[in-house]
Amino acid sequence: MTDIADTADALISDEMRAIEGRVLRSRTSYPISASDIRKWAIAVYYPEAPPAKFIDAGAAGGEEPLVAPEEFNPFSWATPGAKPAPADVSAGFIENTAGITPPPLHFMVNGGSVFEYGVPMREGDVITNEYSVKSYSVKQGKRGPLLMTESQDRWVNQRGEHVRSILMTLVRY
Amino acid sequence: MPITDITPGTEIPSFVRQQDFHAWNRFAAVNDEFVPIHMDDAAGINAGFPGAIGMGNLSCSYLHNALRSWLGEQGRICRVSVQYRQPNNRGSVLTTRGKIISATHGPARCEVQIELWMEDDAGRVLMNGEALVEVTGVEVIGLEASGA
Repeated sequence: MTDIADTADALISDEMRAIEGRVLRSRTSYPISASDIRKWAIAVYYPEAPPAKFIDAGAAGGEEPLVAPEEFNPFSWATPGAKPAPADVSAGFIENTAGITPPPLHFMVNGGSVFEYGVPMREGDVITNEYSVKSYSVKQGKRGPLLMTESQDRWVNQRGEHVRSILMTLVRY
Repeated sequence: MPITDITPGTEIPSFVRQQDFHAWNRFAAVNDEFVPIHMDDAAGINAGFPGAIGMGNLSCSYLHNALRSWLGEQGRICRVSVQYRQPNNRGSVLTTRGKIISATHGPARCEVQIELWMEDDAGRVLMNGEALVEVTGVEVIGLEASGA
């Protein structure tokens, strides 16, 4: 057995292997508000003003519903039925979500993502996601072993239309 | 400005932003992303960085901003892939750039593949990736008709 295989066995437990491919979490957002869209746009264009189409009056102001920036997150802070709580920002958040023991690693960085976009998110839309772990693997990094976790997040709107899919690689060490 | 040039090799306008807690805190507030390495120099140093580092998700938004600024109302973003190569440090200035790789003309629209990258003011490439966008509009149809 190679060193990296030994490391993989140490970092990827049987119960972690058992959640590969399983939907770990599904959430449904509150209806997206014009205010959510405006604040997101103001933050990502800061310090300049965002394009007017993201901060116009919107449906609540008698105009066309605002369309959110593609990368907008409708799930931040709170979702219906879930008690608002501080987000889990630990390096074990995936396994904590699954209710299993996390790997013995303390740091994480975003390794990369692939976003596929369908219909846009508009003011008033309700978005539902399904989040799953695709796979775990171990690579050797400069400072030691790196646990690579590929996750998939699929979003649809209230009409069942595909909104966005995200394939993300999380690097933990 | 309407899009008039979708020739491979053409660069799209860059998107430039200074990195500091003013920008990061605003993004943390909308994305509920209060991660210590993005908020505290000591936490960044403890994780092996020179200090606090910026959010990958915010950098990803900057890539989208660059694409949106170029597209205007003339198209949509279909796909974006990003790879994070190095962290962005507090105080740096990030420039998102893009270059057209290919353009495939259809009857009333054009699929454009764009190489994307982000560099800081020290010349380090922090992110790279690709985007697939769909461009529509009379100018594009005009280009198609002229054989561009």
